[in-house]
This record gives sequence, C-alpha cells and structure tokens, in this order.
Amino acid sequence: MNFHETFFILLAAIIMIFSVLVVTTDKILRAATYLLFVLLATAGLYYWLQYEFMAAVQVALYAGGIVVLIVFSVLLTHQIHHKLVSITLTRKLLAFGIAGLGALVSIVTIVNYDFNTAPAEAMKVDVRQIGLHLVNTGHNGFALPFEVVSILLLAALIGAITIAKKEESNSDNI
Amino acid sequence: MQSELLVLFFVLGLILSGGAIVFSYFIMPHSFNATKVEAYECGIPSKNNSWSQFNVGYYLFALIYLVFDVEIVFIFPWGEVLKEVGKPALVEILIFFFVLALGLAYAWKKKALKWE
Amino acid sequence: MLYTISIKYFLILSTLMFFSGVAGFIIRKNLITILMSVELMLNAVNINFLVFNRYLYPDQLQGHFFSLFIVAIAAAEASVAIALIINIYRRFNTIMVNKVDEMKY
Repeated sequence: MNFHETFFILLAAIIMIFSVLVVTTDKILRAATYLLFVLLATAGLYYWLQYEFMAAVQVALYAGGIVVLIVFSVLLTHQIHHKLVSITLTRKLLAFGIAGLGALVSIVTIVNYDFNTAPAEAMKVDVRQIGLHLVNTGHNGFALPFEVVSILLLAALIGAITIAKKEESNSDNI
Repeated sequence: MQSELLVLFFVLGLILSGGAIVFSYFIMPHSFNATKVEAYECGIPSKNNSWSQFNVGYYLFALIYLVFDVEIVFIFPWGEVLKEVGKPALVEILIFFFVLALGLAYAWKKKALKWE
Repeated sequence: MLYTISIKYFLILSTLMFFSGVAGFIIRKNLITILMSVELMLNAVNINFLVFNRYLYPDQLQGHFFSLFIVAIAAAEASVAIALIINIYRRFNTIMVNKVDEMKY
C-alpha cells in the first residue's frame, strides 16, 4: 500500500464518517461544521484526481461560500437553546433502511458492471485548457452555458433579495 | 511527488499551531473567577448569552458575496486565455459583467447594500 | 499513480454519500438541515461526474465542466432556498416542516 492509496483511504474515511454525522447529529451548528469537513475532504479527492482547479473551486465556493450562507441562516433563524427535536428510533430505522436498500442496489450494480477503463491519452487539465474550453464557441466549447450561468445568478440574486428583504410595513422581528 | 509535500506542509502547520496552543496550556498559570469570562472588565455588565438573533442584513451581504464569488471562479480561467483568444473572449466577458452588474444595480436600488 | 484505485471504489464512496443525504432528507424536520442533505447529494453527484471524466474519458473535459456549472447552480440554489427559509421563519416563527403546512398567504 503506497502513499496515494493511503491518502485516498483517509479521504474516503473522512467523507463517510462525517456525511453520516451530518444527518444524525442533534446540534445544528455541528451539522454545518461536519458538512464543511465533508466538502473539504471532497476537495482533497478532486486534488487526488488531479483536477486542481476544481479542488480550488470546491474550497472557494462550497466550503467558503455555501457553508457561510448556511451558518448565517442558522444564526438568523435559531437560538442555541432550541435543540433539534430528537428523532424517534422507528423513523431513524426507516430512513436508514430505505437509504441502505437504495445504496445496496446501486453498489451491487456498480460492482457487477464492467467499466471500460482503458484510458485514452490523458489531457493535461490546467487553467489555460479550462479557459480555452470556456470561451470557445465552437465544438467542445462552453461559451453558452457560461453566459447562461450569469443570467441564472442574476435571477437568484434578484429573487433572494426580493424574498428576504424585510417589507417596510412590519419591522418587528428580524 | 508534490502531494507528499502538500501533506507534509499540512501536518507541519498542524503541529506548529497546535503545539503552540498545547505548550502555552501547560506553562500558563491557572486561576479562574467569574469576572474573567465577561466581555468587559468595566462598563455595562453582560446580560444574556451571545447567541441572539442576527440582523437579516448579514444574509444579504453574504448573498452578494456568494454571487461575485462564482463570478471570480469563471473569470479566473478566462483571464488566463484572454491574450490568446482575443476579441471573442472580451465580448463574452463583457456580456457576463453586464448581466451581473444589473444584479448589483438591483441590489443597490433595493437598498440591500445599506446597513440599517 | 493516478489510476491505482479502481473506479468502483470512487463510485461506492459517492453512492454512500448520496444515500446518507437521502437518509437525512427523510429523518430531518428542520428546513436548514434538509438543505444540508441536499448539498450532500449534489456533492456526491459532482464526484461522480469528475470520476467518470477522469477514468473513462480523460481526453475530454465534459464532466469537468458539468461539475463546474453544478457548483455555480448549487450556489444559486442555496441562496434562494435560504431566502425562502428566512421568509418562512418570519411568517411562522418556526422552520420545522411539520409545522409549516398551510399555504394560505
């Protein structure tokens, strides 16, 4: 077992432990922290796959952006003395039974499927290569989704401001 | 390999920062009284705990931050190839900027940038 | 060194992550934790895209770009969802899904 395999096993263990903890812990801020750990370990996995830019995006956007937003929403809607309602055992068993069944089915499928992993000539994925694909309007180019993402962000920004901004009339709570 | 260096860097950083904390914990004098944990030594005594409702303004700022964070992610590879590709890349990014500037203008007009 | 781990281990890992998200979606009653479960599922799908790209079609970049855009979409989705949660909290003073069951207003 060499270094790379150990690294992968470490990341996989972190991801599995903390993604179960995210859904079972009974303190909401802890759940957010565990989610942060899962996302950072996923960034490590992308680094393992040698998609360095994707790893950076994962850290900057997911760990640095979305988790911050989630933590803010926790602070906006919760008090610390509000504990999460403890979950009944039957509900827990039911949920993990259903999820385990689904996981079993797809894992059996994955193990039995014969993936054709005769690797073609690997492409060097650096930022320049990504940029060339991003601005390319021709074959294998992603210029149109690049522009559409800006419209999506505009729509999300306007929608979120309109929904979350407090109306002038009732300004009693938050 | 580079990954070894990365892990070495990570572990070293953990040891250095964690070691400083553990070391200072062992050599510091231990004493405790209730005034020590308060925020101010003099002035208004603190009333309830710090976990109170936050202003919604924080969310609006985080939202605008997130949108421009996504923008930066897309600008980064674009900047790498601007000289190489030339005019089409410039036109694309100008459209992109224009659409997002509309969002910023909307936020400004709705007074989301103003702290109340 | 890159292909030393079989693709199947990656897929099993992302499957487990996805289904723990599904379990959280069923267990939780709090809207924010449900949102966290959705983020877990999105992240698992993202891993799948990148792994397929790296192991099956390493000469192309489609999977990479898909996951790049998915991250951007996840940001937009989370921001709108949290705006809705804040608004719900303002009207009902709770964000438990079993208490927010009327859509009159």
